[in-house]
Amino acid sequence: MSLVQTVATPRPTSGLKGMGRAALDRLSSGFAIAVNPGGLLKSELHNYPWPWTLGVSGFAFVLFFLQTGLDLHRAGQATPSKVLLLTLLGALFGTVGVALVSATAWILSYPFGRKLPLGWAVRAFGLAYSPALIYGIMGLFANLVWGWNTAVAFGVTGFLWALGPMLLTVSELTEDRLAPSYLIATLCGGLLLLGWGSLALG
Amino acid sequence: MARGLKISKTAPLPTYRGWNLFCFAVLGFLAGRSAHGSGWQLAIWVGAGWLFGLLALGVLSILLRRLYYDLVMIRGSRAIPSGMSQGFLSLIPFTALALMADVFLGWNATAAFTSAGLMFGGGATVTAFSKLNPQAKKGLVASVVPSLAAAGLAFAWMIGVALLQRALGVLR
Repeated sequence: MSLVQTVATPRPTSGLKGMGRAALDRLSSGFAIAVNPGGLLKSELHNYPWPWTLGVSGFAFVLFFLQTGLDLHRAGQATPSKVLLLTLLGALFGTVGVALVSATAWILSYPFGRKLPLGWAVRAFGLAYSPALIYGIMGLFANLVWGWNTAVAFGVTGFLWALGPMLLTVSELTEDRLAPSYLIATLCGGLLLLGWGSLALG
Repeated sequence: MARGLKISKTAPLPTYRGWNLFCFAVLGFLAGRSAHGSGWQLAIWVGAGWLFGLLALGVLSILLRRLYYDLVMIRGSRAIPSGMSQGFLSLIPFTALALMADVFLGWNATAAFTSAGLMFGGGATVTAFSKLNPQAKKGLVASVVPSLAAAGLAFAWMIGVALLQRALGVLR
């Protein structure tokens, strides 16, 4: 039994406490995408509603954009309102932006025998940012506690940890066709990288 | 994983080593740019990247040939280079994004892209091997060693970049 299967076994939920436990279960098993992305994509993805997974990517980008704002604020180049604006932009980019990019991958994989629905693609792309979320939290901690400029250092590393699961997602969408997988994954990764780079850091 | 690998036992397994080495050469070029190299120095960086890829994949191949002996027995001696080259094809998006980050965003982050690409390549190699021999029972050691070895390669890359930078500085 894989790590993902072990931690993602749904527990009976009732009431507010049960809902909280279910959310914690999803969170802990969602982070396992960093360890075993293939296993999670194949067998556990249906446990994650798409708003929940976009919440993961949204929160990750909120933290990255917030750190950019904090870096700029420390350098005297951003007012508190600009920091807030950047954070909201991160929320928009991490939810609407990631959803649009996953829809792009889904559309582009159509000629290659794609069988999986759009919701699957959105869920997989959103959840790919679980490791990035961890880096975002670590980066914010280092930013606030030690005053480091963390936007690029932690942001790039977090973003790169999302690229692997994204590549596997596109492979599933294209029915394991090598060339289209790499082309589409590179395009999607490029859209997100350049979008993030130009909006937050540009 | 790939359609190209769903072939009979008599047909030779494909390898993509040329693409792997191309990625290493491009990453060498980007590392050279980060080190403010130009002209003949960049040519050396490209060659060094290519050579690093050749040596790294060669050493890894020897290690994995011992670890995945059952795969060699079932699919032949080309199974290891084929699976490895397919796993390390995942360097392509990492290399392309490193190029984009350098050209469009002016980021000096090639080391991070290279490390992440190599480490993901190690994991993808395990996946490629398991698709070449789906019946094989995957032990913990066989699953973890390629990723650990790939992490070692990422470390070696960083050391290599620092050493070459210093050597070229002396020559200059």
